[in-house]
Amino acid sequence: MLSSGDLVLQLINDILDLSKVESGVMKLEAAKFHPREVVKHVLQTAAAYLQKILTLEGEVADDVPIEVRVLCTHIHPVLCLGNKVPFFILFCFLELYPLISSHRRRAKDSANSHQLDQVGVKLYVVPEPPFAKEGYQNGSDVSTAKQSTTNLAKEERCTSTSQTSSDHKGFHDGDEEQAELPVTTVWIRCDVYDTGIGIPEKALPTLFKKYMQVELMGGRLTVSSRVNCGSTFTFILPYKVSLACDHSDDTDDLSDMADHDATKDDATTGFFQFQPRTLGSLFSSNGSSRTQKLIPYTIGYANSYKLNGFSEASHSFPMINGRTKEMTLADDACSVAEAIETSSEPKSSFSHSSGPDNESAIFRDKHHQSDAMFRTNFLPQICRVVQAQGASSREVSNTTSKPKILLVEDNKINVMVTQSMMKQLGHTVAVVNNGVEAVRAVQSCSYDLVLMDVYMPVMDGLQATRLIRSFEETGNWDAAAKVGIEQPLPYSDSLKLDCRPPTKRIPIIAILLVPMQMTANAMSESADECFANGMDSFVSKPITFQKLKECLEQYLPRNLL
Amino acid sequence: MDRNRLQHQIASMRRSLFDQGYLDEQFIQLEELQDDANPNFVEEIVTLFYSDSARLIQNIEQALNSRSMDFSKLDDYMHQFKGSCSSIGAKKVTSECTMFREYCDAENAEGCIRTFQHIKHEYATLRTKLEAYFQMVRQAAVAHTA
Repeated sequence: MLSSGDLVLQLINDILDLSKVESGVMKLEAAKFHPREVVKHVLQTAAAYLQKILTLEGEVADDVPIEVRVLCTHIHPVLCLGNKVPFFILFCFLELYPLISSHRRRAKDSANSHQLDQVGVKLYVVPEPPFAKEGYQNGSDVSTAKQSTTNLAKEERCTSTSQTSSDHKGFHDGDEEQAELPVTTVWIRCDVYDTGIGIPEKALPTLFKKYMQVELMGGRLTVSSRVNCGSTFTFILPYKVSLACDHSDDTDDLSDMADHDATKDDATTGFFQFQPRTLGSLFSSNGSSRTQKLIPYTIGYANSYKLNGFSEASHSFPMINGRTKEMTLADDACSVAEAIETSSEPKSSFSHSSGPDNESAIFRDKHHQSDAMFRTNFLPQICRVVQAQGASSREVSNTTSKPKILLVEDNKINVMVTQSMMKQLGHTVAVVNNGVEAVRAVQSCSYDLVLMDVYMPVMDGLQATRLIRSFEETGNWDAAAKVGIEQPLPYSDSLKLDCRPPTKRIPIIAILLVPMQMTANAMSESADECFANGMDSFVSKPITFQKLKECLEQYLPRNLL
Repeated sequence: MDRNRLQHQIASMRRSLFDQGYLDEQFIQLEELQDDANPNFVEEIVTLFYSDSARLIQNIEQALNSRSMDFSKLDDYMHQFKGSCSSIGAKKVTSECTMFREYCDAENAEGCIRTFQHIKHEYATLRTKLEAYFQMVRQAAVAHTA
């Protein structure tokens, strides 16, 4: 059984598996973001992993538009996080899951074991937060927004969740004022919460050190936690909504739509629930059937934590290289406004608005590249954050994150040739010379790919592979200890960041010497032996560019290629 | 011009190494790894090959000379040696290594000994030819900059 971290990282790979994206399971267009689809998809996939002990809930408030445009600065498209909400959600799962697991373990001993932990995601529109004030024309004061009394009727209809911070909801006050702009800015807040053990206050700064490495663009992340109650991760990001009418009409439309079954689909459904051990999901339309039982521990904005009993830390990360936040947002407002032509569609924002072709083209050019760069740079960065060593080295946003490849080979010639080939393919490889060193390397570091020679002194590749797989399956290095390889440091607390063990199945590729006259049978016997010992594939010697390239393409996650 | 003639000679020498079966496509892979950052990569690899494999040749020699031949150990040595040979594209040597391993499997001592002589012969021949080849390449490089 993989550790919780393994599961969640597998989950990340699944959800962000581009083949799934491209096959239409989830559209992650760089420019557009469909909150409900995204939340549903994330939870659906997460449910497969987390369902055993959790109830998963997702909720997208009515006032969240069906489709929003991501607000990305043209200065640093790679940092655009607007459409990476699913990623953020997953990231939070990464944090929450170990806490929940340990809570469950403890709960088992107590009388509360019948209670199920819940993990959930909520998306809703919030008034413009204070840190974004400068870029906007509307001067809505956040402190008043806290107790937003506007559109009470909408609030009632929108949500009947017993949110303690429901007073923070409401529509973006600036809508009317910005009617003259072709687009409107919507601030969407995403809460990922759990009802687990909570994060002790002293651990919060450590957490934030990790989050410091996460570049958030134009948004803000907060974490709040109440020990023995749960934690909530919140982030708030601005989005553009191209609409002709204001929100008030939209809500009416939505409720009308909700009444008509024909229009009920992923685009409008806002509530999802995944009970443990059920494979299906329960969908309900927006409105009456919304559950009340979830009491999230959500806190308000960065500067509004006054609720009692909560240990809070709110750290914000308006990290934009070389620019202040205010400037960037102002630029965004202008650049996006210029880029988007007014949509002539009469529909409300709740319909699927496909803008004019120009619009998409402009975004596509910028964001195609940014998406690819995101995959290359950001995702591995995030994965590494989880395993990071605390605040040691802060990764700069424009550092290319390279895949970590381990070459296990004792032959000097082969090492030199393989290393040079890899270098020309744009990768660096770490090299060790036998199976014991390979196990040690894997113990201390998470590799994306291992090329393993089979015949080596001290310990051969087959045995090393077996030991690594044993760890992946059991979560411990007992098998390695049995043959004399010392254990790594004990993994005592989920919040410890030092030298975490690998958290995902590593592709291990055998390097096989295949004699020229080998028969087809003999060849498959060798390969079978490799597979039987846990290897994923093999490349035959002598190693060529083509073989390496194919191997990398097949086994490295696409975001790392 | 001297340089042109040198380059012609280099090209024809190279071609004959391939035509006569001394080198195979793997050698071309090595050539492709040569660039401005690694201008002498091929020569470096070949040099490393010969210095690194000298010890293996010795080990095999000793194992063959011992009273009771340990075929499994011989096979291990030869496996390593063959891996190196194939990595630099030493075609004839590699093919003799394959023969050797078959004799090992069959535990045919005489076959092993005989084949090993072939290996040493091809190993030495290739070295001579490649040394001449690289010398010309170096000359051409100098002539080029002159």
